[in-house]
Amino acid sequence: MASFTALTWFLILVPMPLVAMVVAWEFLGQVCSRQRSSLDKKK
Amino acid sequence: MHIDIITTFVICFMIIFGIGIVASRVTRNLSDYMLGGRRLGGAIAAMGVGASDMSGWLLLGLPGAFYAHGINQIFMPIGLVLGAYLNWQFVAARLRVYTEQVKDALTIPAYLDNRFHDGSGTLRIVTALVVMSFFTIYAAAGFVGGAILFQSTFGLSYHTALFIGAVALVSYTCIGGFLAVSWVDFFQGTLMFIALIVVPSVAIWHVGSWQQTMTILAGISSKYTDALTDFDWVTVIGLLAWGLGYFGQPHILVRFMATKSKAEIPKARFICMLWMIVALYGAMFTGLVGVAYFRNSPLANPEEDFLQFAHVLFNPWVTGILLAAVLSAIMSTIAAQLLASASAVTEDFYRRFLRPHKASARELLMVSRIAVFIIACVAFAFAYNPKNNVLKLVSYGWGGLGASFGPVILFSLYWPRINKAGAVAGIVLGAVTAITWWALHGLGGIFHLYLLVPGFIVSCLSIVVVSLLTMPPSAAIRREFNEVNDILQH
Repeated sequence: MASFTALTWFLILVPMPLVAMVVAWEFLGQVCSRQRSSLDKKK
Repeated sequence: MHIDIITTFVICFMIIFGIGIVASRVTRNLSDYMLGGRRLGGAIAAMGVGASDMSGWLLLGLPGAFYAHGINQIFMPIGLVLGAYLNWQFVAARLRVYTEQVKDALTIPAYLDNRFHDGSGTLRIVTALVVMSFFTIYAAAGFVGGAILFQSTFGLSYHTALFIGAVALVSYTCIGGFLAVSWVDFFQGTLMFIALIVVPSVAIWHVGSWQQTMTILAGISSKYTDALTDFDWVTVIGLLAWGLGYFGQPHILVRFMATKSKAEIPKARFICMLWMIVALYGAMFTGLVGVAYFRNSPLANPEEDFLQFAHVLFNPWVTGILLAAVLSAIMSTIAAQLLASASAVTEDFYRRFLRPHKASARELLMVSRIAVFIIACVAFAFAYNPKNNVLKLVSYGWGGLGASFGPVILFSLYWPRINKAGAVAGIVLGAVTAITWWALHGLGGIFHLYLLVPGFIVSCLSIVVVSLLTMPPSAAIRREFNEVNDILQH
């Protein structure tokens, strides 16, 4: 069954999605900290 | 040529042109004109960064590179994604705050001028010359992209298509304004994103299946399935180094300066990076599937890959929209580049040195239009040689700007000891190294390494050495640096 080599799959599937996950994680972190601070203010 | 394609193409083109004109009418002052009044929300800023960065290169140059050279080009998108991420992470917020802190600088030359309290104008002249030289080459890539588009759409010869494309692009730059660019970029970025998902998916479906596509690619050459075929370190380092270019692109950096506040940056970074990663995958697979799809009649020009798919896979109405997406991508970037070069001539040279405090607004507008025309003529001359393809011209413009300004921007944001002499040395030696390396490319060996690498290294070294050998910056400059640090910590 023809396919990319293992290393090619690794290069396609790892570095760029890894960066995507990092930015998504940071963004979620910012959203959560904003919500927490707005909840703290309400208290 | 199908009349439906031309009709849709013209309608889409008129809509984009209309958005440009309407948005340029609502600009109120210079800050509005240059930075949208620093009011851009996260999503608009993100798409602006993505679309102005990628332009026609993403739809023509990158698929063409994968089509011609194979999957080893994957190192270029990886380098670009890492570079873009680091640029958002370490430059965006700091530059946003710093430019506002130093007399509300609206452009990169103005930022450098104000950052180093340069009363002599040396930095402005040097910056203006470098911006003008490399943006002219970069704009030539836009002309080549326009020529390939008109050639493929209307079946014209390369030189006739180049001439018609150049007239359309320069008219847009002079009539419409740039001021709309952020909104046009948002529209255009969305169109490019959809096109880069739809085109490779439909193409794979037409070939048969993913498995069938892979089988065909493996049968043609191992370079389409193995990223390490013809592996050599000089090429891989050169491709990864494309990412270093991000730190020095004035047309991208100004989008950071235009965001509403530093709090918008994480949201903008998230949207921009996701857009970019999906779009790069789309361009990569458009190139690879093109090899399988066009295996019986290989394309004479690999950079036509996306355009040929637009013609053969879709209903003529959809083809018209896809072709308009390509033209709009080229148009907004070339407008930004031509106008940045023209403003270097008008603001940083003519108004500052030739007619200080005397030039009227009308006179400046005329000088600006003449500058656009002359720069466009030089770019046209570069584009006239059909051997100068989009990727080659973009690599030179991108590398030259990255090597000249990248290190200076990074050091000016993070190293308090950098001074004006160090900044001038960094810009000049970075640019000279990049140009010299390009001229020596034909010698082969180490000179095959992408010019951005030696240019960036020489620029960094010259900034450090010259700054340390000359007087430290004044107390006022250091105070501003510390104020920026304080703002960023709160």
